[in-house]
Amino acid sequence: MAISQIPAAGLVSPITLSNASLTTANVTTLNAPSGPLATQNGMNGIAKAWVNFNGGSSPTINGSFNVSSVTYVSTGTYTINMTTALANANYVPVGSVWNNAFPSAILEINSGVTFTTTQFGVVTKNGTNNTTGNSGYVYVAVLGS
Amino acid sequence: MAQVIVYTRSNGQVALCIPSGELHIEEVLKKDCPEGAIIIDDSVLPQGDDAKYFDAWVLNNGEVTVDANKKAAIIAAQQAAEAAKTSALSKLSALGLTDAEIKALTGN
Repeated sequence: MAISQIPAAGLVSPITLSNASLTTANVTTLNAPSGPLATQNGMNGIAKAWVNFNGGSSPTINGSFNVSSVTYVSTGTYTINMTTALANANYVPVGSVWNNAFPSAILEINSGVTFTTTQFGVVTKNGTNNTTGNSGYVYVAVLGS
Repeated sequence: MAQVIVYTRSNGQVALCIPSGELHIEEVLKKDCPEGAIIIDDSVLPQGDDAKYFDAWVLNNGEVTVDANKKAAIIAAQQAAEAAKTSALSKLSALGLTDAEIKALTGN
């Protein structure tokens, strides 16, 4: 069946496309119960992982995607561990941090942890004096291949 | 009660690994933690005031406790930093700077 002949509604059987080239695809729900799309987005340009966690003395993970764990290494210092490895270690972690005790708070990459395809480190700091400190909430996303 | 993973780092400090739930904790233990890491219930971690002194936590025989000497050193360092801050603010004030000017300079 040609793609153009698929009815707009009432389609019940899954369709497998092999080496298909779609010019425009309007997808209402992209359901990937397993495979790369379920564990790690298979498209470039979108977040490959993200995590929202409490950075206090009792860290808890509030939400995540493709993050297996967060390791509290020392005060304000955390390692983010990803569930499914990225294609390479040339990814871009981005994020922000919130702490009501700091006039300003900073999120930095921890230079002491080498980027791998499954792991990187972040540090939260008090922006006033640049000292490492725990933060109430830490938000990190990973862009990459 | 949730389960977490703890282990001692090469510098003697404790690391606390919090699973997200995407993987079973046993898988996280193998994938994200070094040899010797153990799974414990988070209810047995130091609580209250002791929870704030994470850098003084030590892991012995499967139990996480607070090292009194490390905790005292952390408190002393915090007090020294606070005293230095108070002294610096006092000196700025003695120079004639207003509170607003000091805040503009230091954020405090």
